[in-house]
This record gives sequence, C-alpha cells and structure tokens, in this order.
Amino acid sequence: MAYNVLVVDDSAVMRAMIIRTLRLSGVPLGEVCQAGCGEEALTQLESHWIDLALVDLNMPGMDGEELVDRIRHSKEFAQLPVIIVSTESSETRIERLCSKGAEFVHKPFTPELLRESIVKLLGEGTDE
Amino acid sequence: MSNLAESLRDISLSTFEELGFLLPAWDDVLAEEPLSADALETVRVRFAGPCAGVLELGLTPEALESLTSNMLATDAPPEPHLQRDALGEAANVICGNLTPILAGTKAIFRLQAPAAVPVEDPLEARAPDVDLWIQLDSGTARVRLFLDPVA
Repeated sequence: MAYNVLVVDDSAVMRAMIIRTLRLSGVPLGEVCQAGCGEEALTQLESHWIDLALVDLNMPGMDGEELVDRIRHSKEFAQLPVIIVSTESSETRIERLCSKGAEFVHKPFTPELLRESIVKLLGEGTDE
Repeated sequence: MSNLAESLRDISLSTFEELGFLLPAWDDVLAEEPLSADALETVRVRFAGPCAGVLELGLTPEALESLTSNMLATDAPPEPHLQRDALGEAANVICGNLTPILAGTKAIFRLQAPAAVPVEDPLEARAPDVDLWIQLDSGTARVRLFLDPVA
C-alpha cells in the first residue's frame, strides 16, 4: 500500500529535506502534499486523502500543536496519524504532544529513524 | 572556554554536520576574529522560557551555499531565498538543542521565527555571553549567544 503524506513546515528547505528523507526511508509513498503553515495544512486535508502528516512545531500563525488539536477535534480526520518533526527538546512538551496521539521525531533525523516512527504509527505492512 | 561555550560549539558542529554535511576544520574554534561581521550572512532566533535571549548564526557565503546545497541535495547553486531559509533552519536546530542546556530537559521554551539582524541593532552595544568563530571545511561560521539579564 502506498501512503499519501502531508508535510507541514514553514521552511521550504526543510520540507524538501523531509520529503527526500521519506523517499530514502523505504516507506511506499503515494502522493506527497506540502503546506507552509497550519491553515494551509487544513486546506490540504480537506481536499486530499492523506494517510500520514509530518508536522513542524514552531510555525508562525497556527503552530504545530494547535494544528494537531484542530485535527483531533475534527470529524473527518481525527484519527489521522501525525508525526511531529521538530527541534523541540522539552520533555514536558513532547509528552504533551504524544498524549495527543502524535509520534515525535527530533530534527535532524535519519531515514532509519523516520521509518521507525512511521512503522510504529502505521504498523507493519509499510514495507515495499 | 566556558562550559556553555563548549556546549554551544558541540551543538553547532553536530548541527552543521547532521543537517548539511559541513565538517569542522582541524582547529575548529578560532581564537581570534578572522573576518568582519559584514562578511557573513546572519540570522537570529529569539527564545523565551525560564530564561530568554537570542541565538545568532552567521555563515560566510561559501559555507551557506554548501549548507543549502547539501540540505537540498542539489549541485546547482541555490537561490538566495533558499539559502536564507537554510540558515534560519540551522539556527533553529542549534537553538532548539541549546535550550535544555540552559534550563534542563523539562523546561518549555518558545522560539520565534528566525529573523535578519535589524538595521538598528539593539544588540550592537552588548557583549555576547558566548561568541564563537568556527572554521568549517567550506567556510566560516560565527555563533553568538545573548542571554537577557535576569529581572
């Protein structure tokens, strides 16, 4: 099964890095969508079938945590698997994010680490 | 070198390597200021939490081009806006890894978006708490940390 992924980060360079790392991770990919902020991410979710979202935390406007809250409170995509990809180092904040059903990957990260988080979230069967 | 300066050096070097495959030169931290600050492209990240301050990162043009090219996995010289983007991301990563050193792993910090140094620089007259010149294999970096005075 190929997964449609949404990458949310206000940095175009970081989005490109994440997408490249995703491709190197070996997880089968379908459509890869991008969003530069929380509001754009919600628009993408409403117009594309997304199986997994990779979300930056520190973004102007709606930050990643608020985006996760909006996702979890929505009818359509409350169960969406989310991986927070961030420079965040506070154990307190990371625990809070994980309590919302998100996985957390610290920047910078290797393809192996990203794959590990994806398999943890989506289960076995993410192999090509 | 103070413990804080050593930590900041280590965090900076691992960020340059892991993010952009920039490796340190043999004598990575330079004892004296090798360049004018004008020779660098510089960005700042303001952070606030149990303590507050500014993390500033500057790179020479060749180091910044290498960083960006490596982050994008491209051979073509990246456009200036992408280079500024990459610089901001590197500063974010350094700052994010520095905050637990400043206040422990439980503390919550808010990082503002990376920003250019303003023309009227409020930090111009201040001495930084840490000021590192780092020689990389493809250019020079300057990392400065300004901690706000405790009220």
